[in-house]
Amino acid sequence: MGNYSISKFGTRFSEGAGAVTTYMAYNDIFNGNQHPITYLDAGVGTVGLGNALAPAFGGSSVPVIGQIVALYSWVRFWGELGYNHPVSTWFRDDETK
Amino acid sequence: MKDIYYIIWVDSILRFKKSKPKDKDWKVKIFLINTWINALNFWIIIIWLKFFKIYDIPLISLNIFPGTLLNEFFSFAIEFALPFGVLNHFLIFHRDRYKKILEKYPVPKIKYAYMYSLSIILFALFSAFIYSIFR
Repeated sequence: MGNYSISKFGTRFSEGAGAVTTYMAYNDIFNGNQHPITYLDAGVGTVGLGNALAPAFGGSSVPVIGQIVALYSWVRFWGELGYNHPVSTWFRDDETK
Repeated sequence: MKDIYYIIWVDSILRFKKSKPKDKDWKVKIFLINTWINALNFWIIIIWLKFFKIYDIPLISLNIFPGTLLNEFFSFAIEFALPFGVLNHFLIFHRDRYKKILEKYPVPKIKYAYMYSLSIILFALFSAFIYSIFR
């Protein structure tokens, strides 16, 4: 991976995770497709985004928050993917054709 | 209005370079952070216009990635962040315009960028909850 270490990737992932979760939740709210988990997404994403930008602009951040948001986004992504596209359907022929 | 925009940029550049002086990717990071915040700012305006039934813009619906999470993220990014990404690029970083801007505007004593970003993030969350409850 050269200079691009795993810890660097982890930091950037946690910074981006807040934005992805926030955008996704706000998109759902705007479209009126919100579910109870959308509010959790919005809250977690907002905390993550605020925590990521604070040290850059002279504020202070809580170290653990970034990791929690990254983990939440990671689990949320794969959970949502698994719910919509279960592994059992991966190699099945599309019967709608 | 133009001055406020540039002062926030000056403050964000100076504070970022002060807090992370060895960061080589500072341009990309500041660009992404500020564009994210601008997108949220735009979203707040649009959702309040929709809330008061003044104006309702249709959202782009993508179906490229499996699942809905990434599709929703990219549709939001294209609709709200992309216009500001282009604007920020040409007004700040194109042909190193930020150097002239840094010379023109004084060093801010107040943390404008931090205050602006934090207030936008919190107000976006507040707007999302109010819109969902009372629409």
